[in-house]
Amino acid sequence: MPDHLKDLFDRVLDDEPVPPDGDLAGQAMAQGRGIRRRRGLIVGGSVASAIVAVVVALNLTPAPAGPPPQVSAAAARLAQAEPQCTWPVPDDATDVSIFLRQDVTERQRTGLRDALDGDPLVRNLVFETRQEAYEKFKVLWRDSPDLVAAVDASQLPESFRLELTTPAQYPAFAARFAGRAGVEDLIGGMCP
Amino acid sequence: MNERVANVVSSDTGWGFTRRHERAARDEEFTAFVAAATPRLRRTAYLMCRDWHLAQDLTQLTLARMYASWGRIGRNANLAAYSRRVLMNAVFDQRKRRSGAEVVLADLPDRPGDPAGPTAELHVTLMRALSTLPVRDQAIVVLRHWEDHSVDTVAEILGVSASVVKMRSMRALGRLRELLGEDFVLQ
Repeated sequence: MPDHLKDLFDRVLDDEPVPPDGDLAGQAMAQGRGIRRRRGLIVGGSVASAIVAVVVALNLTPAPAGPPPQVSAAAARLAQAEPQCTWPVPDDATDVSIFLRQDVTERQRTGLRDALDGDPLVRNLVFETRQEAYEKFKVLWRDSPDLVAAVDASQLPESFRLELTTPAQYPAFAARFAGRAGVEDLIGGMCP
Repeated sequence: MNERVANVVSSDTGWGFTRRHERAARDEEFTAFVAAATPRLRRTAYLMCRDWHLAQDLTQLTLARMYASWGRIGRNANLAAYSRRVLMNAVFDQRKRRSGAEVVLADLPDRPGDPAGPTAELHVTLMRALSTLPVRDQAIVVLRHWEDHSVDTVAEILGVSASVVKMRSMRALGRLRELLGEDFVLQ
C-alpha cells in the first residue's frame, strides 16, 4: 500500500503551478535577518531581568562602603538600544557608543574626545553624561519601576556617541579605540 | 560582547575581513541549499495544506527561519530533516491560527454534486480523506509515504518516539483505507 500511496501523492502534485520567479534565497536571507534581530531583542529582555537581579542583590548588601558600583555596561548598552537599530554588530556599524570607566580621569576623557574629534571616520560626536544616561534609562525601563528605583545616575557610565562615515571601517575603528585608557566598552550598531 | 571587542583589538583589522569572508561563504552555502531544497519543500507543504500559495508562503517562512539559525545549524546537521521540522512547525502554527479550516474540509466529501464525489479520481479523494486526520498524523503520512523518510527520521522531525510514529502511521493508514474504501485496497 505505501508504494501506491506515493503514486497517488505524485498525481496530486501533477498540477503544480510554475513556481514564482524571484530571488528566493535573497528574500529568505532578508527575512531571516529580521527574525534574528527580533530574537536578539528578546534575548536582550532576559539580560535585563538578570540585571534587575544583580542590582537588587547589590542594594540588599548592608551598608555599602565607598562609591556605588557602576552598573555593568550591559545595562547601559540596553539604555541606548533604539528599536530600529541592531546592537551589537561585529562589522559594518553606522553608530558607535564608547562607554567610559567609572574611574576615568579628566585627562583620559579629554584625550579621547580630541582623538575622536580628529578622526576622519567620526561625525556627529556627542558626549553623554551620567545624568543623561539616567534620563534615557528611566524612559527605557519605565515598565520596570523596581529597576529604575534600584539604579541612580552615578551607577551609569558616561559615553561618547558617534556615527561612522564609513560603516565598513568599524572593525578597524573599534581596534583603535576599544583598548584606550579610560574606555570600559565599545559597541557598534547598525541603524537604518 | 566584551570578548568580541577583545577579538577586534587583538587580531587587528584582519578580523573584519575574516568575518565578512565567512559570511559570504555562509550565504553561498545557504543559496545552494535553497536551490536544492525548495521544490521538494514546497510540494511537501502543498500536501499538508492543499493550497499552492500557502505552500509557497510556508516554504518561504521555513527558509527565512533556517537562515536566521544558519550559523548554528552546523555543517554536519541533517538539513533534510531539520528543514522538514521547521516546515512542519510552520504548518502546525498556521493550522492553529485558522483551526476552523479542517472541519470545513472534512465536510466536503459528502456534499451533493461535489466534483469530488464517488466518481472523483482517487488521488483527489485521498487528499480529502487525508484532511480529516489530525494534522500530526497527516504529517506522518506525508513524511513517511511521500517523502519516504525512515520511521526514525520522521520521529526526529516531529520530536516524538519511533514507536509513536509507527503506531500513529498504522492508525492513519487504517483510517484512510476506511475512508477510501475498496478502490484503495485493490489498486
